Amino acid sequence: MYSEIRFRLQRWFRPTIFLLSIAVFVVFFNIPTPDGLTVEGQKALAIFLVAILLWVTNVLPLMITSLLVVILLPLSKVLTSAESYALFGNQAIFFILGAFILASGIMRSGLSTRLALIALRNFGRSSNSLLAGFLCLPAFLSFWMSEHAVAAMMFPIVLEVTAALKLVPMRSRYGKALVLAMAWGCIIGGIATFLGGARASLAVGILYKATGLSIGFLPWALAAFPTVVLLLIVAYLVLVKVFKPEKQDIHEALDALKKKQLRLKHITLRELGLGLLMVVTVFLWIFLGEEFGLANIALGAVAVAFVFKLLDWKEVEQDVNWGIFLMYGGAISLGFAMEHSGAAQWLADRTLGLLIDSPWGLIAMISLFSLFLTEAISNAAVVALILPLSLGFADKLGLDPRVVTLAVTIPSGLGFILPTGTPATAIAYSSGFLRIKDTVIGGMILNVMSWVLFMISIYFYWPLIGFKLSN
Amino acid sequence: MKKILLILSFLRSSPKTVEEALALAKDNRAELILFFVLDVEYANTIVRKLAEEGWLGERPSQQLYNSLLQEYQSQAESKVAEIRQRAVELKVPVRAIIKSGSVLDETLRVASLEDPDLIVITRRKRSSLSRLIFGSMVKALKEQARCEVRIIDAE
Repeated sequence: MYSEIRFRLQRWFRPTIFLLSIAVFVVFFNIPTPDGLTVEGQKALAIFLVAILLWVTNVLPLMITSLLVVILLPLSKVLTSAESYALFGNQAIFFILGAFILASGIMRSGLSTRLALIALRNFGRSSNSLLAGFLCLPAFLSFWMSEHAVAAMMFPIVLEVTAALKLVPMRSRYGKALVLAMAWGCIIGGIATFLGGARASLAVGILYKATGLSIGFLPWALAAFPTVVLLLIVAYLVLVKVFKPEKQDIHEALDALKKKQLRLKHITLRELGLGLLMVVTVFLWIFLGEEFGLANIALGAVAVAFVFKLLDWKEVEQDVNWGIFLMYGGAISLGFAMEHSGAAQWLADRTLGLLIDSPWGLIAMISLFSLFLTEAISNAAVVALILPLSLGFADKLGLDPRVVTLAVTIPSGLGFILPTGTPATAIAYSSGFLRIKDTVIGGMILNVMSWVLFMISIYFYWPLIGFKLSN
Repeated sequence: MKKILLILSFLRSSPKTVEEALALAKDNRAELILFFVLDVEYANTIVRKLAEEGWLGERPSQQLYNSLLQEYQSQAESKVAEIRQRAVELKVPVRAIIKSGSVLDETLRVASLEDPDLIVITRRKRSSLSRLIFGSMVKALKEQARCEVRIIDAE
């Protein structure tokens, strides 16, 4: 049925989008150059519009659209080939590469599952505390590794618990709350550091290429942390008050978790080694990140892990999605081209500039736009599309570009409403426990609260840690 | 009437359809074959989305896919057990088959093997426009099946 629908949909949708992309490119490439825009800027804008169409409609995998951008930039003479391809060498990309390789080892060794099981058993005092565990634990794990990988790892554990408690799909309110807690925990935790969503390092890469400024590991985490904590509290209240989960005798669930933990046997040297290496790496990122560079520390840790045989290249090859590097390379190239050619400033003046004339208006609008756009498209694409424009406009209003970067990137990770919004919600929905209205009702409340809490945090808290609105 | 084939899937397991199929089997003293199709397309979509947007590698994606299928299988088994229990209470002879794949293709395959006298299936709530644009699986089944197809609208 789905394949039938998709087949019919794609039969006319894909060719239409491709034709539209070509038409948009040709038209914008050839119209007389508007006042205030350079010829390079006009060409960069044509490529930007094609990227928007393809990233939003998803008719091509994201990384292939990125490759198209990298090809079109030198062919249109916006950048030279050397410049365009050199942007793949951005340290943001190599930082993510190192973080993903380390995460592969942590997952493969069983360390992440072991930690999850130990923590969950300690949360198991009542059905509501177990629910809180399924919310807070994925959030905590998503501070240190990709939120998507955490969701994929936690999903079988949630299913074991729902099976042990004999929760009936669609009917059990506790079942709904458990799978949503897992998804929301991953989403909320994913905004906390550079490691959870990976989009943060993409944003810092774009920021650095555009302005020469950067944001360190610790300042980012400090900026995001209050929103994370407050959102976890709100999410728990929504789960308990809106879904009203029925009280459960959770002994069966705790037994299932204990059995799963026993199957892991004793902790191995590999787990201990990787745990220690990760702690040292995070320490270095926090305290020496600016001095040594985040990417250098990440790749250094990877090299150490291979020296001590804590990682296996075959496993890494299977676990890491290499497409992310193509996507990020293209996004950084596009951001640089937009900024370098003046297209970002020109477009921002004629879009955001017509609507907003105050710094607070800009921050409120871009964070809200980012929050809701991420329901429709990938969060990395949201950053790649909105950040260059926002940075262009920030300059005019005298805003600190670092604040703008945070205001676009943090909300771009908070898609709670639609099952298609984020992979974690899609995984939760696929369990069969939820109806779309479950994610929509809870998600709407969380989306609105996210924005309100985020704005409060920017206003009252960020100036205390050095992120003031104006330079 | 000797055999009734009741088609079930996650999107097509309305209690009204189940009760009607049980009543028909009881009245006609026919055997009821419960055919639960695990529609793998949704799991495929999730894994594809994760590979393209969620940045999961090949192995974690495969593990997630296996977890999903395992969950679908267990949900199907408990649904089948529930209906089987009801059939036993009504003294209706019952048999169950669970398979993964496309609902239309698998139903036609099982129908050609089992040769039922009647197929009973739920029609999901959808707008006429959606049926016009995207077509209807139930309509396709009615056209291609070699026996009568009884369509019950979902409540």
